[in-house]
Amino acid sequence: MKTVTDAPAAPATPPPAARVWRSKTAAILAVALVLVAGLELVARAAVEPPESFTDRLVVPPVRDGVYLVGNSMFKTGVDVDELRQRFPGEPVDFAYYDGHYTSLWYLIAKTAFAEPDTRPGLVVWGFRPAFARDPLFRQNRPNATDLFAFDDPDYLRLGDAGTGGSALASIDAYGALADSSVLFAERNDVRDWIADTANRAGVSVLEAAGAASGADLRERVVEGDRSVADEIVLQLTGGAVQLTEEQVVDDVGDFVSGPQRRFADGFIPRTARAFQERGLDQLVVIWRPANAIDGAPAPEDVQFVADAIAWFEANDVPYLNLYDDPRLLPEHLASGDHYNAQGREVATAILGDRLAELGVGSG
Amino acid sequence: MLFNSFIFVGFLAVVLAGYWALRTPRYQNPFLLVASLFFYGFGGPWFLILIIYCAVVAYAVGLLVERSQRHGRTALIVGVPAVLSVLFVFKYFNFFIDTVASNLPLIGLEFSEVTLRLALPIGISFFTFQAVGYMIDVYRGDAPAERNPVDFFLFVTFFPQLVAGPIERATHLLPQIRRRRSFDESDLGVGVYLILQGYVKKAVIADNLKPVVDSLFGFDNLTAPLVAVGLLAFAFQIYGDFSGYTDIARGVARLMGFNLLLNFRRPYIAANPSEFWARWHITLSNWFRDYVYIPLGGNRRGPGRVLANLMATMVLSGLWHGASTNFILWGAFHGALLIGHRLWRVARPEPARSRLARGASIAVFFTLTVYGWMLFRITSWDTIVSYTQALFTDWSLGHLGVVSLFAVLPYVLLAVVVDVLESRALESRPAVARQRMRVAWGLAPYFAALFAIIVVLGSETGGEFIYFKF
Repeated sequence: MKTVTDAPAAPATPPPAARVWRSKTAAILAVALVLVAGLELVARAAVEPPESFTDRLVVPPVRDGVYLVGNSMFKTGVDVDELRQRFPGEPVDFAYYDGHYTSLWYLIAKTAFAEPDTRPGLVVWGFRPAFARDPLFRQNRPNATDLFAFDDPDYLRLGDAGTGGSALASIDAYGALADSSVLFAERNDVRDWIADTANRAGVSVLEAAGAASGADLRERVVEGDRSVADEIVLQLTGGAVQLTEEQVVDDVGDFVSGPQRRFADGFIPRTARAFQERGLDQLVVIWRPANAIDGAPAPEDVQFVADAIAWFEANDVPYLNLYDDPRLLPEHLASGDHYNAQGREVATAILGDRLAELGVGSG
Repeated sequence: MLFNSFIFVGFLAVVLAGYWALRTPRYQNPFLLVASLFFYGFGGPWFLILIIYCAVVAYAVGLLVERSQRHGRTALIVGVPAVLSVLFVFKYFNFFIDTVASNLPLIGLEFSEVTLRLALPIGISFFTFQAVGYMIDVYRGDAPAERNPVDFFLFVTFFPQLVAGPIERATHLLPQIRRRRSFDESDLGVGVYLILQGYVKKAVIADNLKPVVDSLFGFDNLTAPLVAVGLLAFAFQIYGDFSGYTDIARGVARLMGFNLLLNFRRPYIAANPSEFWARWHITLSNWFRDYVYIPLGGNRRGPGRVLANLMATMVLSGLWHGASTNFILWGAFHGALLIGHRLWRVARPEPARSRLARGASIAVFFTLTVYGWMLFRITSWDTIVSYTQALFTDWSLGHLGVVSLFAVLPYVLLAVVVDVLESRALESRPAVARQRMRVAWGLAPYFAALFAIIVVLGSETGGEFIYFKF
């Protein structure tokens, strides 16, 4: 077979370098770069720059009731519908940010709940002790939410201190790109738009074909907050697994780095104080991670939890110690530290009991 | 070091600047050799010992073969196994021992399993095959032995194609290493074109399909629509991943004045298995043809032997991909397709010439190819059986299949568009054979579009290329 690479070699004598760079190809590449720069400028004009991070923090107005703020631990560990059924007179709402940790709760405590129309009766937030090792603001993908700006020198100082690893590893190339390019910073919105458009097209085809499932999928996937992957998981497990999260096997490991901080040096006491200063009741959940469930807790985690409990008790901060709760068992784990449907049921019941102790639902 | 990492971008910039500043091969080649060793040793310096060992053996065998035909034969008989032994120990030993250990009890013997748990050096199948090919070429008189050790070591370790090919031939790459390289506007244009296209294939197409494939194939009880969507997604994931790597490798080499072998040519428009292997991983197909199939007798020893040779070659080709039963099955599946096609050609020597017939052939063979990817991707025999049964018996959850298909389609269509544009830009003109790009202003918006697509849709969580582990 004759392939395009059976080519004779290039000419023996190279043209002078200056001539190469004056060539038409170089000019074409330059034009291409100018076009990309133009696209970037158009995108900058089209995307409204945020005035401040509080404008981009999406916590809907809420008065009274229970408001859960958390990450994937809350998403997989708390059944909000179950809490709503248990406390019918109390609004129960939530805001979950996958992959975020205590630094974000600090930010939210300082800003979102400072607004007069955002005054829940009680805020539930929490942490896993392992993630005190790196309180740097981090996300599963850069700018996965619209929360990434910080105006607090104190925050930045804490973040710097937590950086571990080599100098190369500490270069945040994606962060730098996101800071310098609107095209790059907005790419998650573009991907979401593509996925949403594809979902709508797929559902429209089903509806046009008269499939009864079309309307159901439109309600759950297009207009609701479930993904197609969640629907597939739900169907294939006969409802036993609700979320994709529960069947994903982590293949990249955890992302904790650097030495573990002492409790007093991290964001948790600052977050608790921020809620106290704003006059908001709170409940701090100390999650029970896989190594504690498996009976091999990390000694530094045990110390961290002991320090946390001592501090909460000394400062009148209500907490829920799931870390030492033997009711959470190995069969309650899904992936990593995340709980499955059974684990969610157990954790939600315990949380509900604690909320009841704190007066939720008592009128 | 991964092509899809920021470190590689910096590395390449430094290498290109240093390379062209040095001007002549006398200085460029040692510089490239050091850069290549740094590239390979970046993740694990200990593996450098292996690649240097293979290069030393092949270099010595080449010189011995050229010096004396009699001693050369002995040198080849020693040298080829000496290089392949590295491959065997690091890639196949565990599989071999596990297989023996699990089968001996069947004949009443006990076996104390001693398994070497060794990490698999990336690219080991590529550089060992390149070294073996060189030794055989010199023995056959197809290529002269390379006397300059720097040039030869660069041939074995040349960083753009070191870890995932294309598998180069001594007759093709060594002459380019020896002579003075030039760099004209076509090299610049083709190089940039291939690099941008390669990143689109890898970071946009393959890495965005990966989560769909991984999440679907996490279940053993998929129904037919979901198996079909998963396989379609994987077909384009692996194509984007591997051909994307090849494009980047060829583009990077082109920026240094090297012309690497073509490895992919729109494989999914193949109308039969022979055509597929002339379009998919071309350099590996040619390697097995020249160093396995033809020495086994090729087409020359009667119909029965031809079919046996085809099957043996394809099973070995499957085994090359990994020490696992599923790769052997995949190779045997393609061997069976080749045999079936050969028998069909015997029965009907005149190929159908109408467009409709070719279209139907492409559709049928694409379906078979996609099914074959199941054997490649799924390592559990039980799951393979379960999925295959589902394809014939369980067409439930069709509504989820439809919406999943629409989730996959944007990236499949992007792959088709990129391939069609490449064929027009690099293949369809009279200058095809020289792969000289006609430098047209229309390329500027295309380059800009590719770059913007990479920036906006490129996944930052894709990680390694699939073929690195082979």
